[in-house]
Amino acid sequence: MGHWLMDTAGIGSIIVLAVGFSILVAYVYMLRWIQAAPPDPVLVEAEAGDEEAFAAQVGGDKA
Amino acid sequence: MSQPYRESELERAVLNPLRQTTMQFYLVLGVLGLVFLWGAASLIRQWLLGLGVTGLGRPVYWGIYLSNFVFFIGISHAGTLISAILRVTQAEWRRPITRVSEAITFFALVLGGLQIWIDMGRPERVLYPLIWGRYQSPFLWDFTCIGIYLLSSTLYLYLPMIPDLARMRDHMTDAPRWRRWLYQAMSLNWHGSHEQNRRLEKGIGIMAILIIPIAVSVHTVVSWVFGMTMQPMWHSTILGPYFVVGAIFSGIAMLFIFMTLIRKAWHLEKWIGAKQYNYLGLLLLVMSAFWGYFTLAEYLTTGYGSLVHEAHVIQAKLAGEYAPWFWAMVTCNLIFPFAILLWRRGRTPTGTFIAALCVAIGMWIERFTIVAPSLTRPSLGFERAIYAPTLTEVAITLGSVALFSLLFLLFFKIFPVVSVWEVEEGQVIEAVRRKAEELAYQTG
Repeated sequence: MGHWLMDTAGIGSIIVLAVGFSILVAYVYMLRWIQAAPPDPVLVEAEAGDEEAFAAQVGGDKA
Repeated sequence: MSQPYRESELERAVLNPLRQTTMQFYLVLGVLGLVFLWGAASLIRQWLLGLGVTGLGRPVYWGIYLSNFVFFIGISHAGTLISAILRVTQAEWRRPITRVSEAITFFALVLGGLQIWIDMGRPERVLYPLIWGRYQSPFLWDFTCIGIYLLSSTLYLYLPMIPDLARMRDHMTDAPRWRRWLYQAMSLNWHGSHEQNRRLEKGIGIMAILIIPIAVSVHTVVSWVFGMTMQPMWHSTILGPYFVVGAIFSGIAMLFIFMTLIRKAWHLEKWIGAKQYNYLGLLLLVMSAFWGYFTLAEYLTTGYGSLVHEAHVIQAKLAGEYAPWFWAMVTCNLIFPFAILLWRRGRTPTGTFIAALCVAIGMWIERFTIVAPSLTRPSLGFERAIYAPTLTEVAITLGSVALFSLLFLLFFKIFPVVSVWEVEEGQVIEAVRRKAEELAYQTG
């Protein structure tokens, strides 16, 4: 089996592409993980219209 | 009411060249474009007439293109390896230069790969290794390692750019529409929350650690393309580490060259200063010493043993037709760097730029003296041959260098040349450290 993998024309490129593709997928997942990070709670609450919570957390003028 | 956004001094220095285009920029672009077109025309001529227009043949089947390949892959270590090592060791002075080094890596890898395509003689032959390739061949190991390195370097260049891209998305509202779209798309919905920053730092940290063994593997495998054959002075166990040391050496030199040109053109003297030149100059000096040690070890062992075929090659290098190349290499890689960088007053922008230029030339010659002489005196039953690159090969080589510089220039016409958020973060860390020292001093 090992000999077949190493010595068959065309299998080499499949190995190269398989390794490259797996790494590409892992990197895309890393980017998506960064992209999907939640915003800070202060911003979330302010956006949701919870102005009292926002004022309580930042302790200042809501405007 | 929110205050209008006021750019910091660093932001103005980095972002203004993206907004305004000077006459000098067009001039440099024009010169590089002409040299590139000359190279491209020569490549088309080579495709039409075949490899007969080059000095390649039997037994010298590899020449200047393979030297370029090894050289470009070598300088790609500028980059990522240096940036990654400095990041992992938390060297604060790295911050203004990491973006440049990471970009060198990316474009050098692209140009390195292109050299193999050029060397193949016809464009469609690039598919042959994919169709007929067997994994027992070091060429496919090379494909694997360079492919992984290219993917990883792209990500490693991109990740630290995300906060800067978001900054440009938010503040460069006067940019053309396509650029605003590009910044919007590439900033990955960046809002800079605590959690997002943590994830980004973690991602950069993982990549910095991953990229070091990947970079080492790349140049080791490049050396094995030579080392796995039975050619004199190629079949050597030391070739892998020798290539890696040479790669880091030429990478630092290339970083110096581009860093100095960018510092001058972008007026970044305030951020890229004495500290970077001193520390990187010392690093270049140390790598010069390492390179000298490996060269001595390689040539002394081979010369002392004097196996018949190897003795012929070493004679050609030390005292034969390749002697001018060999001794020019030693002068550029050892004598000039030591003469300039050994003294503190030599590690100035001008001094280091000259030393780096010498090393870049010397390291290209080193690649050439590894590739060509061994094939002119092969161990199989060929007559001795002579290899002299033709004008076509020289034009394609110069065209490749022009394309490398052109891509680099255009990239930094669209994206910031310095990682602004990282430099700002460094300034905060420095301010906190100074304050802590002050307090410690006051409280005794």
